[in-house]
Formats: sequence, C-alpha cells, structure tokens
Amino acid sequence: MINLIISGIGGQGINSLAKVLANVLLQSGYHCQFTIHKGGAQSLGSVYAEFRIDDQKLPTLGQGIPKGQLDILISLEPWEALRHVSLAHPKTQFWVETQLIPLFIERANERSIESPHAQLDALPEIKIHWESYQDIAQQKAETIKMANYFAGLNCILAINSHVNFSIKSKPNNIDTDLFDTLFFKQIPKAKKIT
Amino acid sequence: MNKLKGTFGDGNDAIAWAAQDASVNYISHYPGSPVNRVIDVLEADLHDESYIINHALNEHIAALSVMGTSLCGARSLLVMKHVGLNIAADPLNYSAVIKIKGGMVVVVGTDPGARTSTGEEDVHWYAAQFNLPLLEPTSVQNTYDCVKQAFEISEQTQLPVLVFVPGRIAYQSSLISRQKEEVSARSFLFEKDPENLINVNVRAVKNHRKHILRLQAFQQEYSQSNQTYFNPQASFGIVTRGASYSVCCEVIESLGLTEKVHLLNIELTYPLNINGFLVFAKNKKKVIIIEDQDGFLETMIKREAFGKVSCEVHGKNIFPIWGEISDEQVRDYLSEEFECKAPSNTVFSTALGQLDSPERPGSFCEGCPHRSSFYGIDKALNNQSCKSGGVYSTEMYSTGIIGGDIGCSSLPPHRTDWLLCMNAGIGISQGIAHLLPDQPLVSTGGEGSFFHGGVISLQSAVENNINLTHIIFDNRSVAMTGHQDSPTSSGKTDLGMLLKSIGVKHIFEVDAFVSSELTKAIEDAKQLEGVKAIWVQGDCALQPSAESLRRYKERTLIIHNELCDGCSLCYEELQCPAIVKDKKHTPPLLNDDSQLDHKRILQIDLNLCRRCAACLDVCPNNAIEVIDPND
Repeated sequence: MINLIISGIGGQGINSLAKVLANVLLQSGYHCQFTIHKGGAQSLGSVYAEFRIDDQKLPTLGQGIPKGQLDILISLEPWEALRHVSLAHPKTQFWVETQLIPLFIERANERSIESPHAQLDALPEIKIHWESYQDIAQQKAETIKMANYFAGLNCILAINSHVNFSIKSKPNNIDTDLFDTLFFKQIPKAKKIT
Repeated sequence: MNKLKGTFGDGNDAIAWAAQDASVNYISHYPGSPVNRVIDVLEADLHDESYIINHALNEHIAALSVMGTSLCGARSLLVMKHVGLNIAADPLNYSAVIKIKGGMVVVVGTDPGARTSTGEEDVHWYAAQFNLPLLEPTSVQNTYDCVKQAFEISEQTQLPVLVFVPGRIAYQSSLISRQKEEVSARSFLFEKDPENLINVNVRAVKNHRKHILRLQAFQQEYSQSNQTYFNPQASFGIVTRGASYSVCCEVIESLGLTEKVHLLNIELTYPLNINGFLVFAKNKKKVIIIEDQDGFLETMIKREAFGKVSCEVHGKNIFPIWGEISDEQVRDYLSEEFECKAPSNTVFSTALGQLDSPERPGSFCEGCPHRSSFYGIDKALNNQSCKSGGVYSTEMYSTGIIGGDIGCSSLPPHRTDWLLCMNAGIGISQGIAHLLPDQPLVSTGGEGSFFHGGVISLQSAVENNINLTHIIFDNRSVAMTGHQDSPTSSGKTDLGMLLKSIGVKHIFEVDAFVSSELTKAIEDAKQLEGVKAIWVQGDCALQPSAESLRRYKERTLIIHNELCDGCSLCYEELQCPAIVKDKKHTPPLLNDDSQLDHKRILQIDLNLCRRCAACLDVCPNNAIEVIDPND
C-alpha cells in the first residue's frame, strides 16, 4: 500500500487535483480511497488530501494515515509540509514548494516562528526535494494557479518510483499523458500549458 | 490492465445518489458543513429527475416542510448539520406521532473533532429524545446503503429515520456502486387525520403510546444491523459504530490481533436491539466499546444489557468523550492490552513530533468585503484587536464590544468577541445593550444569518426599545457553505423595506469596500436612540458581479513605495493577503530577513489581488493607486 498526502492551502486547487488523481489511479488499475480535510473557510486555510492506494482491493481503512506510515508528501507550501512530518518514516518522499505563503499571525509577530525551510532541512534521514511549482506555473501557464498541475505530475512520478518497493505485484506505470488529459477534462477552467 | 468500475464519490455524493436511487420526491435543507454539497449534487441533476428542492431559510422550516410532503405520501429527505438539529428539534419532536405516509429521512452531518463547526455537540441524544430510529454508516458505500434503507424503514414503521454522517465520512471518497430501486409512481394527497394530527391532551398521550409501540415492534424485529468480524472464539470483544469502525479494523489488522479480537459493529444504534450484543458477549471476558464523543452506544448497551451479561464492559472510562477517536488512541490501548510492540516507524515519527507548524485556520479571501468592514468597525470602536493578528491580548477586551455571528464574517482573525451559534450576534448583543446602555457595542452578522432568525431578533430589540446598532454584512451569498443564494441575491426580498417595516427607524447603507463609510455610520448611529441597522453591501469575492469581473480584468493597483512611509496599516491591520512584502527582498530559503527589520517594502501581488480597492481607503499617504481605464 502507498499512503500519500497532498497538502497546501485553500484556493490552491488541492481538492480538484485529488479528484483528478483518483481517476488517474482508477484508470491505471489501482484501488484508492481519499479524504479531503479542509476547514470552514473558503480560502487561505490548511487543506490536505489523504490517499490510500494499492494494486489490490483495499482492506477496511480508517480515515487518517497512521503515524510513521506516510510514504509520499507533495506540498504546495512549506508550512503545510511541516504539518504532516510527524506521520513520516525515514524513506518518505518529500516534494515541497519553496515559496512560502505567510501565516497571518506572522504579520504582527514575525520573529516567533522558525522558518519551515530550516526545520524541514534539519529533519534527520529525510531529504527534501525543493520544488518551484508556482514559478514553473507562472512561466508555462502564466498563472500560479496552475501550480497544482505541476504538483500533480510530481505525484505520478513519486508513485511510479515508489511502486518498486511498496506494492508486491507491480502494475503498469501511470501514464503522465493520462493525468494531463483528465486534468484538463475535469477542470475546464485550467489554463493550458504552453 | 484492469479498469475498475464504479464512480468516485464522497459521503455527500453518496447521500444524494441514494436519495435519487430511492426515488425521492421532495428535499428540504439548510446548508451546513460537512453535508453542504448534498444539495449541489441533487440540484445539478434536477433536469433529469422529478424531485422538488426547498431551500429553506432555516432548519425549523425545512423540517416542517418535509413533514408536510411526507404526510402527502412523498418520499422526503431533510438535510442539515448537527447544530441545525437544535433548530429543527421542535418540529421533529412531533414528527413521530403524526404517522407519516411517504418515507422521511433526516440526514444529519455530525462533526466530532469540530473540523468545520463552532462546536462538536453530540446530537445522538436527540434520537432517544425524538424516539426515532438512528442509522450510523461506517463508510461512503455504507452511507449510500443506509440512506436508501432508511426510506424503507421509514415507510415500514411510519416513523422518520435519522442517518448521522460524520465529517470524516462526508469528505471521504471511494468507489460507490449504485442500484436504482424500482419504485412505482406515486400520486400525492393530503388526507385529513385528526386522530394523529390534532395532538393534544388525552390524544397526545395516546399517540405517544402508539408511537413507542411502533418503535418497540421495530426494535424487536430488526436485527440485521449487527455485523461481526475477526475471531468469534476470542474472549476480548470490541463494539463500535459509525466512523470508529474502520479505525478499529485498521488497527486490529496492523497490530496482528485478528485472532485475538472479536469485533461487533452496530448500525442501528437507536432503538438498540440488544440480542446481537448478548450473543456476542456470551463467551467474552472483556468488552470495550469504542465510539466518538459522549458514549451514546455505551449508555444504550448498558441500559439494555443490565444484569444480562457477566463480562466486563468498558468504554468512556478508557477513551475521551471529546474529539474524534483516533487511530493512535485505539493503537495505544490495544498495544498495551495485548503487549504488542509499536512498529519501528512510529518510534521515528515520535522523534519528529516537536516541530513547529502553527495552525492555519483560513481567513477572509482576497477581495472579501468582510475584511474592510471589520477594519471600519475597529476604527469606529477604537479597537486594536486587528493588530494582534488572531492572537488574543488583554487590551482587546478594554474597548468596544463586537457581537459576532456565524458565517464567513466569523473567520480568523476573529475580530468579534464571540463565535458561538447562528444569530448570537444580535441575540447576545441585545442582552448586553439592554443591561449596559452606555457600553460601546455593535452587533454583526451576515444576511444569511439575518434571514435565518435575525429578523425576529431585531424586531424583538425594536419592541423592547433597546439601544442597539446592528450591522448586516450583505455579501449576497450564503458563502461559507458553498455560495447558496440568499434572499438578497435572489432579489425576492427588499432588505431595506423589511428593516423599515419591522420598525427599524435608522437605516444606513454603506459600501463594504470603503471602510471609512462604515466607521462614519457607526459613529453617527451612536448619536441616535433605538435600534439602528447598518446595511453593508459588497459582493462575496468568489461570487463576483459583472462589474467586479470587469474591474478584475481591467484594473491595476500599485503601491508607490516612494510615498509609503511604512505605517503598515494595509499589511498588518487590514491584513490583505494580496499586499505582500516585495518578493525580491525576501530571501527564498534562508531564515534571515534582517534587512527588512526597519522598513517594510510592500507591494500588491496582482496574482492574488481582486481589485476591490479596499486598501485605497486605508492608506493615509495616498501611496496606493488604482489604474482603471474606465475612470
């Protein structure tokens, strides 16, 4: 089984990406269930999607990934990566957006919080893949709103590289073209990549 | 490669699809998370289906309207969140005695852990108070099955049936397999039935008795709700319900306890048919009841099984009655009970537990009218609360009171003085204003909340000659729960005329994006006696009008740094997320921004800015410029 979390903040398209990813997994022969965690706010709050993925029928699973069992974390914001670190194990893959989105308490009280980058880089045994989803999105689609697309591509990459040691009977690799097709089909307002 | 069949859906989809597949005829609801999307799903399919949807203005009306349609023979669905059940409780107390005709199903979204609510009230006790059957699904598929089954049980017993769906199932997605039931077309007719509908005096007691007898007959014959798993020979038993079931399963499997534990899940938790439990408990030495919150199931089991079992029965003496039952709590308890070691990965993650990631609870969106409204209120009351940025300080309480309601206006940085239930803005404020007429105070609330119950509260203040200023944030949307229409966006209600006709003498209309207008209105209202209403108008940023969209496309906003003296009102006090420190001056990976200590270099991030221009009114130095080709 693979346990995956995609995290970020409200408005970054975590929910839409999760729905696309679920269908990509489904059409690639995987079984999965996922849960979206969001607060009451329409935007700017912590949001994360939690996936349980396997190549065979999933057993009955609770709604949270247990501590020490998170295999892949894709985060669109560094604080939101740090939030889930307590679920990690030494081989967890971390793919994290570099660009920080400020916390509001930081505006009046900046010095009290240690940088998430430094905290993440200091983690024992864990190597963080720092990514620039927002910058790439700005360059290739002229809007940072498309950062979720590039984070999604990383999800596919991470799952494909993970199946080698996580799932017993290895199914076919997930095709990134399928992700591309379903992303633009399911999110009609998404801006095309140039 | 096998392609899997079925459709992905979450708990909200499951509820809606089950209602469709059970040929529901009528739906009424009041929006609320975690079941806020049910109606969106039903409404999207409205053209293919023959049901009617009633978007009730509160849960009380929603409950009564489905009682009406059910009496006419229609299959009827009522949807609301847990706190809504308080509002619907009065009519639902009568729903059992009236001998409904069409199946009536009451779906309630519960929120153990208060993920999307102001409280995690355990509404299970209402099932025992209403004396209505209660089904508790364990998964998304099971939610679909339970809602469908609930219609059948309801028609069989002539009782409404409750289905409680907790947040963690409502927002979970998995494949759902659907099966449309063949239900013959119905004709609807209200038949006069004074025996059951004129419920008073001797007849009220007689109807109560008949209701309880119907419920008891159902309790005796309905035994299919108990499912057992793992080893029936084990002397250790776990009993569970709802979302805790899957948590128990995963922990039992992962600790390798499938041979040592016998698990019983109970789907119909009220009225409890105890026979299943008695059979289960016969060979047990110890039984643990694992469930979220108050221990409703434990209470019911102990009530029904008293003197009939010899094993130990534990529950809330072990697990907390607050929050959700977590994987960790169950794992810790069972590893100790069976002396199994925690997996090594858990040891690693415990070492990581000390990291610092502050809570990020969300806030007003960019371009939200509430942001500048609260800025204007704070200015009028001379409050400094905004500066604390969500961190409470004692100075906040020394100045004016801001009565708070529920909805987007209650989002962080929580500038109101309380955040409790619907209508608490006008409600609590009028008590304080009545007692302390000289206390600087304004009450607030959105227009959704105003139509939910606020109209009567304000009228009550008028009738009692209370000196009260109430601010209605009219963003023309019930925004927080997914942008449902409100009476001001539908255009069917004239709020100004309504206020006048309930006796509000002074009505101020202000533009939400010009905070000084609101500040002035509050100051002017202070000079006047009686009930004053300030109608703050500004569309929800996520439901923009044509004009807002034009501005978004055509306008540009810039901060002229040479005019900015770094007062930081826009950044720290207005707290617009689109006003940011110049990215060029923010080191990307280092924790060293000492160069910014003395002078802030602010700019507007046009990727985020909605061009509402609320910052323009806030800047004392005219450093912000709006460039609009139409001006």
